[in-house]
Amino acid sequence: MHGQDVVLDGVSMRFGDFTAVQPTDLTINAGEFFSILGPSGCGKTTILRMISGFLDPTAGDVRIGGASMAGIRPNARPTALIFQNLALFPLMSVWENVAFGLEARGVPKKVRRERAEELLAMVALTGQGEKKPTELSGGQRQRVAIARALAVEPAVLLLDEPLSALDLKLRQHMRSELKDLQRKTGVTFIYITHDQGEALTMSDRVAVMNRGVVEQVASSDEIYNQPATPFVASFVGEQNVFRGRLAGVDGEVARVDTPQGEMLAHLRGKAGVGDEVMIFVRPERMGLGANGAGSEPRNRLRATIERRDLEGPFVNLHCRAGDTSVTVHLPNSGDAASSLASGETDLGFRPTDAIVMAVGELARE
Amino acid sequence: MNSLVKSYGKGLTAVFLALTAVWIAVLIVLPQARMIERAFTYVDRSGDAATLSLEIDRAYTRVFDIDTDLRDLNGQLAAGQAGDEASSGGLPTPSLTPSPSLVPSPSPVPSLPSPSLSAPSPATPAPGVAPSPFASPQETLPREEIEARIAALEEEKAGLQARIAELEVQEAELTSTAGTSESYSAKNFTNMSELHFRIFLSTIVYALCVTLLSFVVCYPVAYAAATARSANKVALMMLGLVIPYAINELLRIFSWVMILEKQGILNGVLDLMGLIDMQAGEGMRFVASNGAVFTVMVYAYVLFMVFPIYNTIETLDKNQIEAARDLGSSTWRIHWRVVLPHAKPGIAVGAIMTFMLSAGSIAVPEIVGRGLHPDWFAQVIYRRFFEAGSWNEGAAYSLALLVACIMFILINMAVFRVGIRDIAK
Amino acid sequence: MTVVTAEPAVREIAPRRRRTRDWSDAVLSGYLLLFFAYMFLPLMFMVAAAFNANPTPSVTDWQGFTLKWFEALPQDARFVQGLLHSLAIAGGVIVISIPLGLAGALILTRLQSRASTLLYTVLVSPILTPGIVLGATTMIFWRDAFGVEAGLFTAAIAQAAFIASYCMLMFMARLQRQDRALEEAALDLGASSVFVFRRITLPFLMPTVLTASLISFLQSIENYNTTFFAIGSSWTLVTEIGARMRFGLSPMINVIGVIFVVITVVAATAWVLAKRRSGNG
Ligand SMILES: Nc1ncnc2c1ncn2[C@@H]1O[C@H](COP(=O)(O)OP(=O)(O)O)[C@@H](O)[C@H]1O
Ligand SMILES: [Mg+2]
Repeated sequence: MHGQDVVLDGVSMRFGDFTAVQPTDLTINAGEFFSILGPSGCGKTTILRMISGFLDPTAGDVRIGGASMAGIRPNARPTALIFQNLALFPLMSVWENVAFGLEARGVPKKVRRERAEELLAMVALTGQGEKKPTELSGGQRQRVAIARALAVEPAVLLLDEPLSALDLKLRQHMRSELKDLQRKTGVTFIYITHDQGEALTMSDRVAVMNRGVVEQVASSDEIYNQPATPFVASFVGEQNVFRGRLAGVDGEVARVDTPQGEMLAHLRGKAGVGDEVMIFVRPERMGLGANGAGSEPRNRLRATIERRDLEGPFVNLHCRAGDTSVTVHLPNSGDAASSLASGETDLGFRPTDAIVMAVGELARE
Repeated sequence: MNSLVKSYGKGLTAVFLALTAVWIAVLIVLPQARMIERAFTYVDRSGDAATLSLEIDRAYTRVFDIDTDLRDLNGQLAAGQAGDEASSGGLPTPSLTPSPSLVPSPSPVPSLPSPSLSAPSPATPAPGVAPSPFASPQETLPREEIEARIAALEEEKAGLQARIAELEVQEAELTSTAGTSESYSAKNFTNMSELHFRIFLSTIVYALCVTLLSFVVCYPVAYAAATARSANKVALMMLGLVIPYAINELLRIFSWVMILEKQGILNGVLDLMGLIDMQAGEGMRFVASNGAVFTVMVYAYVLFMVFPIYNTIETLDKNQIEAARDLGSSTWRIHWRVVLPHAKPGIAVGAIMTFMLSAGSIAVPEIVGRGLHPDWFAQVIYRRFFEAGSWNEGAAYSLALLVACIMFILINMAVFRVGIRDIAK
Repeated sequence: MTVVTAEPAVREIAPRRRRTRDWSDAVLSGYLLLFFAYMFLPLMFMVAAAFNANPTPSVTDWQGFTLKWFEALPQDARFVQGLLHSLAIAGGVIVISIPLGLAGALILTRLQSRASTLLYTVLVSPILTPGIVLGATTMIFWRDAFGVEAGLFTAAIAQAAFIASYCMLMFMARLQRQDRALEEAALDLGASSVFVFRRITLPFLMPTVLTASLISFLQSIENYNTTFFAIGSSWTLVTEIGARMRFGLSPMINVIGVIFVVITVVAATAWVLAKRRSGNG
């Protein structure tokens, strides 16, 4: 099996007056594990269905392995789709399900049977071939769907929130299995999810979508550490947000007037002096004031601790600074600082850990 | 169209479309269109032609009757020879065997003269009808008498056949000259006699009454079945409804004719109660009255009202009824405000089916009425086609009935605010 | 009403409400009894009279138990022939109605167009048309257009005209419960449209094909009004019953009635039991 690249060239999709996917350019490399992450209803499935051929783009072109897919029906595309509800054929046995694509291609029954057993072995379902899909557990059904899709040796495997029906434990287990499978087969995986944990752990690259727009395409680290838009910043992971007005810019560092006092942070995107802006700081990048190290400049603010949650390795402090709530994740070091439970305290964070973006970009929300 | 090709591909879509097109054209639209065309085609049958064809009809009918009698008599002869074990059973109406007059006579279609005239007489009795207890007369006649009667009948038959041939030649001449006077017009409707029009109206009124009565009778039953709590009770009620519903319409009618006959069960019961003396020939002839036709019709079509209403009430969340009850609503109010509004589509469907069946029923008036009571409209249509032989008038009358039904459907849809998709489910 | 009296009033209402409820339940039960008596007594009379030696079907004038009417029935050539005609017509009706109903349902469930309501109306219109009109139009059309005289063929066609619509509605109901992702999944795995239809859609519809055939069969056998107009000089079991009933009653019809009742009771019981079993899981 060999992966192929997928290119979306100005692809958009309208349903009547409603634009589900705005014009989008996207390149997914051959053999890549690529995720599309976004809230429910943002257009992820629509993109997937345009790649697999169940929807014709209103405009633009989908290319797979360099060939335009315009006018090519789903059954002639080198893709295989794993449906959100799996869509296993209920009247067929497990092995018949797996061998369905081969049956459609006229492969003799004996060969089909052998190939199905191989694939079932690959997804750890040896000996389950004679059962009906309904007799399997959720995780097993999941693997049957994957085996069925791999049976047709697709160049691109499209997965539409395949784990959403599973319980938490199984979900985490399946993540690593999927990743292994992708590595083993070399097939291009396009994986859709609204679960950032799944996207960040498995993917080579992640596209974050919002309201039909791909806002950022980058590696997991970059998405998390250098979000390109306020949406990406707030959708992926937790954030503390301080609103204020841009007071000045010095190179990459911006000065912001906030109700909590003046703060310094890294400017991303464009913003002019006087614009309304937001500062994003991850809870784990914040510390208690006393922890400030060395001569590095630090943003400081006064806050009241409202609640303390012990999460084992972490202690989460929920504080309030004026009318802004602030969360701080402290490593559980067992000392006095992490056992602080109430009262006033100083909080601080490094300007390099904070991002400033113009509110305008989020105003579309 | 695109969505179809997407779903089924070009080949299958073409097959499905072709099948549907054939269905619509051959089974629905073209026959309907032809009927409408005929309904609006007026054939000016001069008085001569009309009387002629009527006379031919009568002659055919008589020939058929004679054939039937002959068959019976011959049967008796044969039976007598076989050893005089004449069956004792039988009916008081000996010579009337199956469906003679129901046979469409081929001659009276004036617009198509040649093929029909050359067609063989349809009245040829079915071959190989064994003498059955039903067909054999009650009393066994002496042999000589039978033979004499056979001879007389044969003679009459020969005379009639000669007459028919003569008349048909005349008719062929007439129609070949008069055939040109066919024209499009609404005369088939406007010429409808006052009597026929009154029958039309009263049939509609009767059908409306049957519908209303069916609703009153059925609503409580449908409600009880749909809200029954125990599974056993539901199963039992369903059984109680499905069995009479699934039993043939004619047999349901038959069971009532048995009751209403002069020798029937109702009179028998009255006899047992000492109110009348059947031995003395007392007893009321309940059949062959409009009342009897009406009663049997309600019985025959009542269940077409139950199931649609049952189906809609069943989808009602029973908690709504409970909630309304807990809020102190009276039983009437619950039905008026909660159950009935929910059951609207079902009521509409039930009303439409019941109305259509009773307005168009030929079985009930024909069988219960025995031709002894004023006709219902379906019978009038039937007589236009097969007795008066005027297919165009028959078509016009059918169309009138169809239009009445369509009107009823439209009114129902408006009153109950339901769409066509709610109706046909 | 003052605050003080409010409480006891509430307590009073509850039993009174229960009493009205018991009362209306009792009325309803009584009514149901009457209704089912109305439904079943005539049928019971009909069954009982089949065993009465009295040549006039009766239960009040009992002349002794007999099975002779049962013996007489198979001797009656017209009834036997009529039954054969009925079976032939029913076979024809199934052969016509199932493909037509299926095609119509497949098109209607997927046609995304404003024309679909119109198409739907046309296709269900035969159900809403009086039977005699269907019979008459079929008879006229085939005679005028193809010179086909009324007979078994036109009877089958006329019946199929509305039975196909019933089949279509049954198929549509089934198709509405279909998971479209199954077809898409099959297509996505490289199957052709025909293969998807044969391997996925048709197997899914198979149970409905069977029930629709059965219902078509029953409807066809039972039909009187349409058949009566379209059958011409031929006859079916049911038109034969009708023809004879117009001139008087015969216990042989009771015998046919008994047979129908037995078949119906067995079938209906099986159906209700099957439904209950599937309903319970
Ligand atoms: N066939 C359709 N017709 C109209 N609107 C649609 C259709 N399919 C999807 N949509 C709309 O497009 C938006 C994106 O849908 P989808 O791609 O399914 O979102 P998700 O990201 O949750 O998979 C939704 O608002 C949905 O309502
Ligand atoms: Mg989705």
